[in-house]
Amino acid sequence: MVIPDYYEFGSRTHIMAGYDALEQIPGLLSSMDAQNPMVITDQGVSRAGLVDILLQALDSRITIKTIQDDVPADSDLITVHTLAGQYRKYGCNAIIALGGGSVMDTAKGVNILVSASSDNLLAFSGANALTHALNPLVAVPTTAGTGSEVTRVAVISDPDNLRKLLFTSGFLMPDAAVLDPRMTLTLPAPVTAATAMDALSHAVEACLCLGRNPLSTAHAHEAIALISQHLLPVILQPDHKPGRLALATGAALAGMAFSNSMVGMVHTLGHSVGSVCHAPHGTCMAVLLPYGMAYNLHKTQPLLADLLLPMAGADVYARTPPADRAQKAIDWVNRMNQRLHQVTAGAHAVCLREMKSQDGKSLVPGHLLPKIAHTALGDGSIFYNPEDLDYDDCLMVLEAAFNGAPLDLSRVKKG
Amino acid sequence: MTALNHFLCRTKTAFGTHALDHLPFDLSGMNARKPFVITDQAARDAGVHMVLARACRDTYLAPGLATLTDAGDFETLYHLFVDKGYDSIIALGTGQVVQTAKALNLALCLGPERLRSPADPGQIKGPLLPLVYIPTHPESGQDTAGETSFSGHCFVSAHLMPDIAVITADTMLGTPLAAVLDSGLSSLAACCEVFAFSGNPFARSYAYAGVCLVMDTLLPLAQQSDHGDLLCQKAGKHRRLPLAKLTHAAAVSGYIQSNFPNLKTRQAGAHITALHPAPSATLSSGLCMALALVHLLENSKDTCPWLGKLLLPLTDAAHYAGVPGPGQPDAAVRVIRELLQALYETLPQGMPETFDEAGLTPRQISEISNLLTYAHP
Amino acid sequence: MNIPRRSKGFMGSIMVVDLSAQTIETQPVSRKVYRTFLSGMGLAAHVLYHRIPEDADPLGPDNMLGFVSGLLTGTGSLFTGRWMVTGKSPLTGGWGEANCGGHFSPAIKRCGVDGIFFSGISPKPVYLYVDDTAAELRDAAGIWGMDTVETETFLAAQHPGARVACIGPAGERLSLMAGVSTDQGRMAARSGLGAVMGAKRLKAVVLAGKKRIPVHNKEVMKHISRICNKWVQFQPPFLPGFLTAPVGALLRIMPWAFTQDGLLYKILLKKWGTVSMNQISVEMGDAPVQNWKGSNRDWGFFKSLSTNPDVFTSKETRKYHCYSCPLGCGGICRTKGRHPRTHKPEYETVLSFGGFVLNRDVDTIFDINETLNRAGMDTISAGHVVAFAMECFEKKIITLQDTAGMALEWGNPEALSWLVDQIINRQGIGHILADGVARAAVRLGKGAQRFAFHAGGQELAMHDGRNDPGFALHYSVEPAPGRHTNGAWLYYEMYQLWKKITGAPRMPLLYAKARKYETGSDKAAMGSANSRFLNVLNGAGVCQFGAFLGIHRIRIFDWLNAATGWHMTPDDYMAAGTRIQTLKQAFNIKHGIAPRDCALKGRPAGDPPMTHGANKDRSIDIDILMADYWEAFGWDKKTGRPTDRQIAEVTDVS
Repeated sequence: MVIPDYYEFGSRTHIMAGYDALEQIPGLLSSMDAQNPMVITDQGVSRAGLVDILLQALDSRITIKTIQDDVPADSDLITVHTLAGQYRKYGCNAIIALGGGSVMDTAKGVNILVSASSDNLLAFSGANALTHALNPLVAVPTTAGTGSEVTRVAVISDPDNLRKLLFTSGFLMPDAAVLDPRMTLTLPAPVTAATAMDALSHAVEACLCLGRNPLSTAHAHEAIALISQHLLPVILQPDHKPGRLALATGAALAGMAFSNSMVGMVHTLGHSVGSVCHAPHGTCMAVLLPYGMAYNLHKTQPLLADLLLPMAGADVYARTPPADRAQKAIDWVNRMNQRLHQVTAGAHAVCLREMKSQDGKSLVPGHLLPKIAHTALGDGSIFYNPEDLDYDDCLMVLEAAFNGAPLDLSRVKKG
Repeated sequence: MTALNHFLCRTKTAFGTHALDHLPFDLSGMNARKPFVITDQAARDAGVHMVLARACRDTYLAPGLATLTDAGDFETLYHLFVDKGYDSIIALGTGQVVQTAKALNLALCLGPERLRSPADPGQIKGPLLPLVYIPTHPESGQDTAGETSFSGHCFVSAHLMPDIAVITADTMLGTPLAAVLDSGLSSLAACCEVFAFSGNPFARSYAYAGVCLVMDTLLPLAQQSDHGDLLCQKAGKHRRLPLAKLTHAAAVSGYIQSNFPNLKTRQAGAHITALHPAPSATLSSGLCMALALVHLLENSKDTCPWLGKLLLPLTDAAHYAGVPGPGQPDAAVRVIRELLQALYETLPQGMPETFDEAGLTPRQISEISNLLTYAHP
Repeated sequence: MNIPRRSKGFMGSIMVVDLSAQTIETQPVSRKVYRTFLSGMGLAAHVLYHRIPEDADPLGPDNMLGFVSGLLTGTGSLFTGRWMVTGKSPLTGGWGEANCGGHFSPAIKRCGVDGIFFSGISPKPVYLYVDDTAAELRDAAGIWGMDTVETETFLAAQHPGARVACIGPAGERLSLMAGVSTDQGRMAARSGLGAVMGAKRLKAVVLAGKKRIPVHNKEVMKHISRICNKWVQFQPPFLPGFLTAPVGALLRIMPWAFTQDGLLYKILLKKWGTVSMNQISVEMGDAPVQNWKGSNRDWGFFKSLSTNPDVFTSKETRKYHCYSCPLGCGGICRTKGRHPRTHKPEYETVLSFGGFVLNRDVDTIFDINETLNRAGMDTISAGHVVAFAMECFEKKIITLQDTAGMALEWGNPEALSWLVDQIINRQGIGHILADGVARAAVRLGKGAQRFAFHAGGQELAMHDGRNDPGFALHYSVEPAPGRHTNGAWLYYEMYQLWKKITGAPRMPLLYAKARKYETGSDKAAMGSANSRFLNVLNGAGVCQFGAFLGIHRIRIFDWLNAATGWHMTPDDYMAAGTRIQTLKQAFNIKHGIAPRDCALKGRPAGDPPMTHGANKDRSIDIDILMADYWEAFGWDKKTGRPTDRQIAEVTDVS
């Protein structure tokens, strides 16, 4: 075991994962002396009937003060301020965030405002601007991917100034994350595939990047094992509760791992494709993951080789000669993407070129690749990637991922 | 996976050569400007507090230092803290120092009366003051667990877990071999038990790292002992690294014990220690736990679905993958037995290898044996 | 020749361009040179010492112009985006150097070299273009005459992704105050090296290389960077976030002084940039006023209020970070006037065209800043020349006839703008002034020399040696004299070198202010440590503002070892700093400079002492300070000449 010079690992979120995890919420809230929660969610979640399931599970043991279900797809300042007003109006003292990444981010933003009794979210943006614990926040994820239920980050956009505000602080970790398979049972197959691959990319990068450590690697390996065993079965049998729970658990584990170890180029490029083309984050990550692994191959060979065990299992691992294991892990991710492509009837894209919006339009036009590469250079995560990346490198990787062509390793400049 | 997995570890682990350098930033991130450092005489004599002082230099933090001499100090500490207006606690030491720090934290947040006559010692609703734990020895996991006892009352709450555990070779002190073994074996037992018998992936991740850390360090540490000296006492910083790793494992086992208060190995350990009114150095609770672990694993070899996987942290990926599935449980148990055997050989006088040798009667052994089984679907 | 094995941290070779012969050659540099002089400025000193003949005309073909990057640039370290232009200075006739941020520094290394050196004179205007496949001189006739922003915009469009350093009209017209510009307004301004570039008919250097910069241990580099970044983001609990003029006044009035912790300055820099010091400096007596004759009395709180830091941040549309900088003291501003988009003026510029000429009009400062940036001219020297002209006008040495009727009255914004344009265009009185105060005073005669303040020909900066005699010493004693970046007692306090190196006197937390004005061996030790450490910084390409965090917080020596794989101690690196200092001094000796001649004279040295204000009654024992400093290096106390053996030691390296 190689132990770095310095590392830190912490995830202070109370995890509740199980078939009746929702039923634990009243107990959780009462242990935090918070009896009057507000529920923050979005229309999609609400329409899918998940709010009803939540209310049913909570029974009458707790009084929900108000349910706010109009969080937009991209959490913004206005929504955060409006919701903070509602929180105060109804005299709430806790938040239940029910939804995906943007609901979580919005809830974290609201919690900052109401806990600090402030009306200016800007004052808390940046790294470690918070110095006090926030009010109770219970996160109930409805996708198994982003891991935001256990991360210390929130991204909230400021549309007036065309920018995204980043908030990072240990205090932003939700107090509890409730992982209940009922919340993800109805996720459509392509979304399930994309979000799970998103989680897988968190886990894989957590094992490769600068801040990796024994604890984050242990979490990441566990996540990879859960996702690789359960993803395909769940796609084939969407109402398989144990599988759904396993994916949700894997996503949370991956979230814990990467928020302690930092991430690298898959996230750098994934964020950039997402922000330039408004393409779904999970799919971008799924497509880019094998390229990120291949690009860093020469720097991370042994680490990649270790991934083969949780990915493909002991038999494959033992059968593969040690020198080939890293490449085999990359191939495994490629094959997983292809299998998902097949079982979702082509809905899961295997290259950027194939990513389509609902009305069939191409989401990532080739002429935007230079712009994406340029955006990527400004992303902070580039610092933590094992191998350096400049504009040309980003473009080369993007072009390969665009066409679904294998990365030409001879073009990777080895620093 | 079991029906409900819950896990909570409030502690952030900061480990490594430069871990203390990062502490001021963490403190200021928790709005702690005037930490109250509690330490013990041994740490003070070794000058460990100066390492901490150096790390705080030029950070505009204003730490105060108190040295723990005996239990009667508690009130003095309490008043000192209140009078001087400190805002956080740093426990620089192991065992008594940490327990005192936790109790002090309770007294400060809930009032000293609550500590003496607890209405409901189990129900503590946080948050408490920021508590930083900087160990000087490997211990049994009690330090990072969410519990403390004060004047006979036991307080249990996750809020009692330290906010940060800073584990670094810089603050490690020479430790007797017996204490090293006690700590290592108890961490190993706790982590192995959870890894082998719990389907909780969150706990298993911590346990995995804990097992790896012990397997990495315990035997080499024991083998460098010459029995007279404290281990690593005269060693330079890098030579004390294994001690820090073992302490890291102990911290991890503490996190696990907080979430699994009813570990069988721990219960059995307590049971055996209770049977031996005067536990000698050779029959520490860690050793009892290790013996119990072997017993437990043997008992459940055929029923426990995750036992074979234990071979992975006990050895490595290549070894694990090389053993066919059905052989893995046996192989795992064998590794632990071999470790105990090897440790046994490093000791001058006899270390019991079985309950029998430990002096338990057959009746007692069967009692414990009954304790040491898991019912599995 | 000694072909280096795979280098780590540095690239291991230099590019040498002969503009007369139009040839380009890449030459390997032995690893011994790097170990002896590091890279960056040290490497340049090594190259130029041997290659510039002693009688070289600074504007002639024999002079060489070097662009160098730092050893730590591009290695995963922070604050290491500094690059330097070097050569024989036409202003001083000796060692010339100018230091700049932006994004040009990594571009040099990514072309596979640590420095690019030019000799000769091109028959026609050219620019150098380098990428991974080619290095060639290209015709610059079409861009000759463009200002720096136009030039850079044009070349960037021609070569997408390339980084550009160029001169503006000032350099083309051989103004000895001309500098080299990058990022549309960051300037390697001092020593008049823009004129050297203009004389060589080299309009620009355009770099598009994509090579990786090799590093010995990148993970260790980044771990050190992480903790350094934590310090940058760290908000010390007990320091007030807002400090303005009253704090400066307090520092002036108090009879004792605190040893300054750079963490305080970091907070100011992060919030406002260098303009944070606009008012504090005046109040505490650090900023010279009215051509060195005024004081905080003449430029009191309400007069300087129009330049308070918030005025500048209110115009800021975004922060500007140099390469690898986590702090971001720069800014891009939107202003009224001819050029709406401009870099936020720096403290030096604001004071040079503010208090130094008694001007309260901020819009004029913004406008002049952008005008000079575009012309490619040093704002500090230009400010000095303008103040000098105003004083000459006051003393009737310059008359309305000389100025075509423009009254050069103190603080007249209109006169300022007019005069700056005249100087840039070398028109009328501007032609006399365009080569700096020393030459202008000679040209004007009539006793104008009494009002021309410089060190060895280089105009001084906006920091007053009468407040901090360290500035006076370093203005006078350095091979490239007259600049504020060389050193000061304040810098010494902030570097906190005593925490890592031997022989650096430890500063007490609190000391009697009078001590600052004493001379003594501790001052010599502080001064020499400043110089040696700065040489390490310039060899490594580290920003001084980063170094102000304190050497225990920005672990430069650890970075250097991690980048190169060397096992050198901090003292070893400081010894390299000594060697570089000796080599630069030897350069000056070789070129006939008498180090004594650079000593401050007149007002900046407190001769005569001020009769009012913060620096009242203070004069500087500059001769003693200089002699002690030279002695600390083991050089001749009277002449500042290193011993023959010392010179041989640093010149016999290959």
